[in-house]
Amino acid sequence: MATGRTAHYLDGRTATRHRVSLTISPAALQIAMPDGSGKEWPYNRIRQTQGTYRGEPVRLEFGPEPAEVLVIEDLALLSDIHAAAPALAQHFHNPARRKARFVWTVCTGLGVVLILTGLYRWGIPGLAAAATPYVPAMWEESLGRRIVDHLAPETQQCRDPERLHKINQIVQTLAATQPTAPYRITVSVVDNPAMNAFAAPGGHVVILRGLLEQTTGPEQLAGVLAHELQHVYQRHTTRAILEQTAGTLLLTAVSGDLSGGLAWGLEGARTMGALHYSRLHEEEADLGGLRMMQAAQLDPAAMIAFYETLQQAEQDHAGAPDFLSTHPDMGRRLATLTSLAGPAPADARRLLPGEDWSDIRSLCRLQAARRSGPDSADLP
Amino acid sequence: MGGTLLGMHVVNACLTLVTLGGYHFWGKAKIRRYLFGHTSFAGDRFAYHGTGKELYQGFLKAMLVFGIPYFLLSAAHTFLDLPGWIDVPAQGLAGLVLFLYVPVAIVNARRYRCTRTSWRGIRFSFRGRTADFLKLYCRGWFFTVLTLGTYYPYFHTQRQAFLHSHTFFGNQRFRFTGHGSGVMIPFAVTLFATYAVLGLCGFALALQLTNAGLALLLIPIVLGPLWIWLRGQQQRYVWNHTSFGAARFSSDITWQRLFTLYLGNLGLLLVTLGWAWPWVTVRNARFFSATLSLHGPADLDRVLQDTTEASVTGEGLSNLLDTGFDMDA
Repeated sequence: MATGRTAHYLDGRTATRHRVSLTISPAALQIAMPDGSGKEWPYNRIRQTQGTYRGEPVRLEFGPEPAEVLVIEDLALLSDIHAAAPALAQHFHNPARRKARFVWTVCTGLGVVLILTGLYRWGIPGLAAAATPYVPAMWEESLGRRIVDHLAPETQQCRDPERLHKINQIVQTLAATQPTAPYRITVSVVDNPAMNAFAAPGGHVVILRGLLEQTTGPEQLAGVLAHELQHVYQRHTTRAILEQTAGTLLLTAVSGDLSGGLAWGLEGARTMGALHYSRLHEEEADLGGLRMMQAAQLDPAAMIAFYETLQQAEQDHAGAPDFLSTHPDMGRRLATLTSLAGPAPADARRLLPGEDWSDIRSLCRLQAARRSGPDSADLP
Repeated sequence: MGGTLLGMHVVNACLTLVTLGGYHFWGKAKIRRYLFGHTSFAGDRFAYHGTGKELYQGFLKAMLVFGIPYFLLSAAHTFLDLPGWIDVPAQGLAGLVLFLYVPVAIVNARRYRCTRTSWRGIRFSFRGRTADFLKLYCRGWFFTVLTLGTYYPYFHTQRQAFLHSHTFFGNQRFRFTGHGSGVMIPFAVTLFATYAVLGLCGFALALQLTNAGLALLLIPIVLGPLWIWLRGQQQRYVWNHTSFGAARFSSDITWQRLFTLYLGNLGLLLVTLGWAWPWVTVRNARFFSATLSLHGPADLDRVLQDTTEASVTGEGLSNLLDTGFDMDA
């Protein structure tokens, strides 16, 4: 029987501390009170609430709330209890195992890194891809309408029914390769000099004037549209929303209660993750777009030629490094497309035969010219 | 201590991932138990008695009472094509839910956390009524906005007075004898300096003066230390006017010490990309403990246990937007 350990005893009713001495017996902790009386706490009814970590005193509680408490500065008490009553003391922390716990913590850290890497690389994209089919197309259409209203308001759209109809023919030729898709594809042209186009979820494709005017033929526009339509058919916006939600949940789970500085780092990680997934979506759209061109019996060379035009335009101004960009490196995209396109098909189809493309692509300028008077037309 | 805390977070992160987030609340209770167990006052350590189950239940209730209504009201237009006459009031209502959430969360989180905290085996408790704090909160913000911020020090002091004077340790109450005018001068100096610096920056930018961007440097260089000074003054004032029995609390926070603490924390976080967070937590806790003391006869031996049960919803409410009270509040 080990004796001689001292502790502070709190009775749970007053804030007065009592200095007591402890005796460790095989079945219970014996407490000798200052007034000469004694208490006996059976080990299996004692709760240890502190003393598991370095720098903490051992705190033992006994009885219903408000519990009686013993605070012992010397950790050796726990070792003594384990030695005296190994079977009854299993719920007490064992100081001898602290080194092993450190090793386990390091292993757990490595495990967290592995789990996070797995989730980042495969888990989140896989989960988003699996969940996307369950999101109703109606919701995507509603979201798409709002995006188009915001980014391409009607006041900025170029309205020329005849030329728009011809552009729409190109869109429908591509859309015809996906007869089972639940979307009704529509197209509009916005009077904006930027060289860009985007597809809103639900099937509304928006082409900016700057891009349209850079195309040298309807097949080149078809190349761009095939890429954009892939974003619609592969539901990339919905997937991006799900991926971002899953990424945020994941980082929240990992960070727990952390806040402040680490939140900045985590926000950075989330953004980097979103950019990574965005680049994956772009690669998918490139590949799917190429396949769509082939399915529509169009020459993918036109798509590649226009990507070269885009690459040329990119070189005129410095962009973000690859890992900070929403799009993959254009050189790499071109190389992939060229290798997949193969030789030009002998029976490649021509779009809008007999039509003057330079007239069609100028619909915005023609509209502006009509507004400002018949004499001021300044067309390329 | 920071290293242990980091290790605990790593283990918590792993268990949270494995349990698909379920362990979060148990991990949180564990961290809190550790932090409270390492905070001592007058030679004795605090103890935290909350459990993960209680935190989880609180979170569920908070989601039901505030989280889901707020989400539905604020995000309805994302899913439904709502006409303006429905959407605008819905957004307004969402704002109201959020506004009311903050005071309700402050009071109830404090109520829960007090009853789950003990020192020398005696539990704390908070007995202020939510409705009273809500009234104080609404009135405070109303006058603060009405007076362009001038009323804020009164509001701040009233808030602290409410929280401190309704807090009990066992059967004895904390008392607060401060008044809004006590921090009026530091607050006025800070407020007017802020208006002046922001005005100067705006003026320089609006007129596109040469090196107008340099004026923006005044914000961290002048306003940073000034707001830290104000925070130090507020904390000193609040604690120096708080008493327990015949004993008075005393805080010797100075703006230099507070500034050094914040600068050190910022440096640590920047250098480690945030991973020094556990050490920052420890630094903050140590700073708080080191600057606060109790003087005079506290008659601790006369304090008797007097437990009251607290709803766990408040803790959940504080989880929801992280507005839980700090130990220095």
